[in-house]
Amino acid sequence: MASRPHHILTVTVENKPGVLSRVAGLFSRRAFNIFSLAVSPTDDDRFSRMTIVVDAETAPLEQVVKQLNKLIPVIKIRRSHPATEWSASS
Amino acid sequence: MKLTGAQALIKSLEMEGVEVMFGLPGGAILPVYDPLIDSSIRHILVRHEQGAGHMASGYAHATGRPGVAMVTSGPAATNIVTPLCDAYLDSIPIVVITGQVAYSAIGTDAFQEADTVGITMPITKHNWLVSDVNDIPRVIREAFHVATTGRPGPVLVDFPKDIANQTMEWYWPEKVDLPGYKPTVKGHPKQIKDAARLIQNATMPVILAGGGILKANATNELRELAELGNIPVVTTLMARGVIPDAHPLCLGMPGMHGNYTAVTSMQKADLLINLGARFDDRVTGDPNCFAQNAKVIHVDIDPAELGKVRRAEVPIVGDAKNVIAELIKAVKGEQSKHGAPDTSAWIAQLNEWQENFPLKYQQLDGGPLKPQFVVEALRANTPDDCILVAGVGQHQMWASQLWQFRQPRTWVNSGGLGTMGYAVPAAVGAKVGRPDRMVWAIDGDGCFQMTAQELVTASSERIPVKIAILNNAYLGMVRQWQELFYEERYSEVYLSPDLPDYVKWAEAMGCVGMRVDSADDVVATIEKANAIDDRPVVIDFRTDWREKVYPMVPAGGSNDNIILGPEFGEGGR
Repeated sequence: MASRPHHILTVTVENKPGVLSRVAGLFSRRAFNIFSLAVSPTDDDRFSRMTIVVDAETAPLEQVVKQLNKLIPVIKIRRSHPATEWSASS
Repeated sequence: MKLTGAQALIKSLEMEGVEVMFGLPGGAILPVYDPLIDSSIRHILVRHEQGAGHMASGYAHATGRPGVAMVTSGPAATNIVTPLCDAYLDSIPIVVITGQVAYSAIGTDAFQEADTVGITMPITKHNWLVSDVNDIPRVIREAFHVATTGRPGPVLVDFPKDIANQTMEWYWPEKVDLPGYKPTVKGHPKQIKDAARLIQNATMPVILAGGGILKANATNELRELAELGNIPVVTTLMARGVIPDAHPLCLGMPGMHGNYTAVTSMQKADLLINLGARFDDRVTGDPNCFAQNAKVIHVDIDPAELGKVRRAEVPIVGDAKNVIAELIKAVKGEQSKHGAPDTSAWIAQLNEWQENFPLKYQQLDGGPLKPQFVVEALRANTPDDCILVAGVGQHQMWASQLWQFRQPRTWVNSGGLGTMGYAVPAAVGAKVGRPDRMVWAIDGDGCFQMTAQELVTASSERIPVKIAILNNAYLGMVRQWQELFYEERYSEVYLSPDLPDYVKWAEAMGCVGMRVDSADDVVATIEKANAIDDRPVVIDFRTDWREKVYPMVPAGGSNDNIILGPEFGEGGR
């Protein structure tokens, strides 16, 4: 994995049933490949955090972020290295 | 005030201003149909759930208000999947309510259980499974808000039967609180300034007007901007009518079956101003060969459309009405400093193309009836504000090409999904929304057979829509592709002109049925149909099956290789 170009996104989502399915479904529908995905709780139980490593070749970063932001339960997206942040209104 | 979940659902719909809904009851949604009897909402009982969805869509197209459909669980929910997907691709605001098995039974493969939320997740803007009776007003409020704001689209609320029977204390939420949903309406001032500068410096600009203009009610702003800069306008299939076709700056429809001037204007332009269109593949052809000389300004309320297909020099996220109004101010500012840019040589070139390469067909005296002739005769014999609905295929393209649109929201069709069978139910929905207007559908014989049963709905509800079937006895567009690209090897495209007998079928459904074989009878029959206002009318126009839609850009090809058709002789290729 490390040898292929990838993006690491940290996505804050509403802690509601079906959110994982919405995110995973979006990636498969738009033909973006996921290398790994982890969901963890946050200190605020209204929200969860998803850490998604995506294939940079199949998934142009700008489109991934914009499409993810269209999902209503997605609150905030942060990219690790270099750190960039997008909130739902951008 | 204590209400059952079912009562709360109906009351929430009333609070949202719903006047009419399209639907069909069944097991899981039964509790909701009971309080409907006492509601102010008119319910139109469809004959197939797909009809309910397309009616809601036709209603939304014609009125600009959200269309509402309600059906039961399982097969009813799957039957409304097509209209949801259709509305998703065309950004049409519809709210669909589906019954669901009892919340406690979900996951047990109960009778008529389907994972409706799962199935419709990728084809709705958002969907909800109601899990608590107290959530109903909030969910309905959110559903209408999401469907109608930002980039509009379909939403679905899945409603379990046991929750419909529970009770709650009624409330109506003051506002919607969705932290992850904040559409950007206002354009960035710096981007608008940059766009105005590009417009000031362009000599061959074109506006590509899309469906977003209609959704934003920005037709006046569009026209003002075009006239201010003397900029020609092409209108996508979804945007026909946003500027009158007779306007000197209107070039008509671009794309695979667009006219030569509209297609070529973008190929040669030095500036392409995309206002609420999404660079669909049917418009761009091969995107690598599309508008190669043009700088691009792209205005869209959905940020994900910017840069998805074509990189824009100036991308602007915002509502078209708002952004164009600001753009007009900025362009005026530029013009006050530098004078108005001169686009007259460009306009002269476009006018020359229009003269040399018009849409062409020939209706010979005594020859077979040409479908284009029927479209033009219908246009000439209907009022300016007549709403035209189409299915999908050749008839749709002829309708879009040849109908001289004079007003916005007079064109209802399935663009993105290309849903055959759309016309009849969508026409019913449009007529329900605009009973003051004459509503004509131009349909194909293949399309008509898919959803014709909704004319039973129209007859029983006294919804006097008029249907013109361009009956060429073929799946015509498929036949056209087989003729042109598969060496005339016709595979499964023949339908027969007589089976079914469309006149008898129409009569069996409570409509007036008529048949026309010859060009001489076209106008008189249309006039007869126009005079009927108490029931639907179906006219079976027997048209020439040889006729093909031109111009044509072969799928995936460059827009430079537009085929004009046999009317232009050998040079037509």
